[in-house]
Amino acid sequence: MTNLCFYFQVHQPWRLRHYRYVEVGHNHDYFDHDKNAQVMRKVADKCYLPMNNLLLDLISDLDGSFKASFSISGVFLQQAEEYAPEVIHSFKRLIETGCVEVLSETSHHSLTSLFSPEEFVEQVNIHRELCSRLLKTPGKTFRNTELITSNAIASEVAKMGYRAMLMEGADRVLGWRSPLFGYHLKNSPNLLMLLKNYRLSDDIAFRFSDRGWAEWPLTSEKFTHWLKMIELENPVSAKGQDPFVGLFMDYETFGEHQWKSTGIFDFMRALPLRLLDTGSVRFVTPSEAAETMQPSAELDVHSPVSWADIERDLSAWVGNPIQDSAIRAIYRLEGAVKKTKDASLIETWRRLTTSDHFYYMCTKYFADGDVHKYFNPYESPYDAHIYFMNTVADLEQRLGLAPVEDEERIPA
Amino acid sequence: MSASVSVSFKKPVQVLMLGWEYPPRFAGGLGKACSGLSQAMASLGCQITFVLPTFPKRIVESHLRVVGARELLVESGWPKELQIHSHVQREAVQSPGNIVRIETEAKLFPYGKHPTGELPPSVLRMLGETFERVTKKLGVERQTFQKEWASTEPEPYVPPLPNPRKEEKEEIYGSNMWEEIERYCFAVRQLGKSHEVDVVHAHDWMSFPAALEYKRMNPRAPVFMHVHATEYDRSGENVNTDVFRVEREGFRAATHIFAVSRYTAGIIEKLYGIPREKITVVYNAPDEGAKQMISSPKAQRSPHVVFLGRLTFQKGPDHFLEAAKMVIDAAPKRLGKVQFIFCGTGDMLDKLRSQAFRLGIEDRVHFAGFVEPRHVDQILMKSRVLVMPSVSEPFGLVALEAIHCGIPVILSKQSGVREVLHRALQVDFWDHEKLADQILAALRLKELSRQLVDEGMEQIRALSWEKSAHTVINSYRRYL
Repeated sequence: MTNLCFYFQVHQPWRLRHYRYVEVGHNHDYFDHDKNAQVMRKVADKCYLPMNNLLLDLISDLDGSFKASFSISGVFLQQAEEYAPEVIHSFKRLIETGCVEVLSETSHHSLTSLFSPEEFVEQVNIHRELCSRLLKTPGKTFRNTELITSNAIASEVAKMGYRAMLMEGADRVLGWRSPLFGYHLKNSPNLLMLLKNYRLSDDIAFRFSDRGWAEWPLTSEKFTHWLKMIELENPVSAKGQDPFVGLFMDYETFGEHQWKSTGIFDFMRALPLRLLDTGSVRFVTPSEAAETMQPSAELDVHSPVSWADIERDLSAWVGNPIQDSAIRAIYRLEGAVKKTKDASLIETWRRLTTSDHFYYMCTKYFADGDVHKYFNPYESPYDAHIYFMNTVADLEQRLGLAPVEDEERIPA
Repeated sequence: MSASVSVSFKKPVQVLMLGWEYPPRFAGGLGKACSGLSQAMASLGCQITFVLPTFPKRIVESHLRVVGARELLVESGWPKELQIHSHVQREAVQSPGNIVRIETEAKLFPYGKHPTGELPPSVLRMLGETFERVTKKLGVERQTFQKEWASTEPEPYVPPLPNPRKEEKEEIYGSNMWEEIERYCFAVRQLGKSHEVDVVHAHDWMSFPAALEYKRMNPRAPVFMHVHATEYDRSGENVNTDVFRVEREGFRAATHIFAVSRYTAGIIEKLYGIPREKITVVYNAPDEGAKQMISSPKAQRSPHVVFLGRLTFQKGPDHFLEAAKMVIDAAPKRLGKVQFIFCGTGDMLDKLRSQAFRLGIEDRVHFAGFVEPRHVDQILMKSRVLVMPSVSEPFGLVALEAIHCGIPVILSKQSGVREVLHRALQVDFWDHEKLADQILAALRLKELSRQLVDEGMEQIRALSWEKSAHTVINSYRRYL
């Protein structure tokens, strides 16, 4: 049997307004409420609500043999509560079926795992509380922002008591090894890593509507056939375990990245039954998979991997001068912000740790007008940087700190 | 030069280039573009005869022969140009390089001033005027002229002598533009009698009539109109209809059109009604020397914000001032006194002075006047950001110069250069608030400035006159 695990990331950042420097000291309202509300409602209509209904139908039609898992970021939940409460209600109904698992992560979809271990733990706890309150489930399996993973991060996650964690099945980490088996990372032997099968995942998430792709159009028959091939080629693993296929993707794939007209909903409606009919595929949640799987080997992930871009590293968020200076500027405020014990100020600061702000400053593919541009609410990475730094300047002033650019001033 | 980029014509293409500016005598980007392009084309094997209205003194460059036509003219007296042209022809054959420059005694002023006076025969013919109207207007002897009007022989109309040159104040562009154009046409016609070329390549509207005059005599030669700026870019809504018509008829009559950006190609398509497929974009490029940064973005600089260009409506200097006011009001003390520097002259100077007073920022605004090219770099190297707030900018070579001097640029979205330098701050010229915010960011955020300069430099290095010359030659090929 092949254990098939669907995992969907659900996330929307608190996008910043075009906050001008002239507003520093006068206006502490940083977020673009209109834009955020508009995006939430649009994606609710195109994706969250129809896709949740589709999954609900599948679960009831297939008597609970279809299962899926979600990571729902805290900042998403906050915005859904404010702008589209019916979306939260809809997720709750899905979770009540018992066939859907919610994963743990940082509340603010942040890079704290890389820049502040203390804040990382705090944000994970905030997320657990938020999920308990709104969705009645705290989450048992961990997935970090954008599947960012390293030895060090896994150790922190293990320390928090998690048994399993999701990870990108990146070639540079796996080498000759297969993503079909469980692993553990160096220094955390008791944390099972469940790997994303990036080929099959991206066939759905990125290539589904690509008419230039040799396999277009992708049908449920074709996809079922590919999974059967995996079963045939890997009847049982070396340790007698069933192969695990991780289909991990953005939930917005359905109806937003791949429009309804591409047939993505029809594909998903037909796929589960066709897979179950083969008699060799079983749907599992990450926690269920973790109960039956053992690490087959140790992986050494010194420098972090992620699921972003072809590099599958941190370069979508970190590494160019404007990203690095923005990251320095915001994490520099952590101590001072927390010292105020002002809950609303701390929450504002946390919203600025969301990874998307740094993603918008990425200039890697700026020339090609690709996915980064599609997701960028600003006109350019440089504008994204300016609005972020203007916001930081106001925060600095509220905290009575010297401007970060003074610290960075290059000596003559 | 690699094999893949060499041009394989059996014999060198003979190009007649018609233009009005060429270093060291130029008023803007046009002269630089003309020399950059023609030198690259010469190095790819084209033989270029460049006709210029005037040239100050005899200069011999490595692959460029400057003929002292004006001196010859003065010595031999107008209109004995035939001597000059036989002289030129000899030069063309003997020249070790591939470019020959010819001057005619004509001056033009394409910017700011509107042309006045009667349209001359070459232009009237181009605009499709009837023979009757032309003879009436000019009072030319009817019988002789009728025979010549439609013929391929140059007609006997001899334009009036130019005014004696003022030695001290050498203007590139004279005051009676139509007369100057006619003199220029006359010289090209004389040249056309004896000098047959494969291709005519005319830079901007002033040379379009001459290009068509040449074609009238040598109908086989394809004519390429190269657009560095349109009347819309120069005059905005106050277009001179005669100039507009010369441009439009030139575009219509041209075999093919080169535009310095997609932005300009769009104007030619939409405002002049020319099919897009008749236009090829040929980007300008920096000099080889400009591909190296001559000053680090980290260098010590004053908080100076620079505007570099003519002070005319289409360059948006008034928008620069509006943003300046906002910057001065919001700039944190630690930046020091932010100063705004205008390099350039133009008809808006007085208006800008009073605008600065009205805004109460006259002590922070400096009018440096026209700045010599070699001094431009020195100003840029001491400043922190260049702003190009143009209402309409066909290309905008100065943006590349700023990067070369290690400072970031803010480009208006109504400019062509952003198509090759999109890693830059960009803004709509009318969005003063955003422009002010970007200026403040460039002054405040060192990492941002550094990254803009580094990434901009990377893009500049990808540009070259050789690439542009290839685009031009490949277009020639389609019609040879």
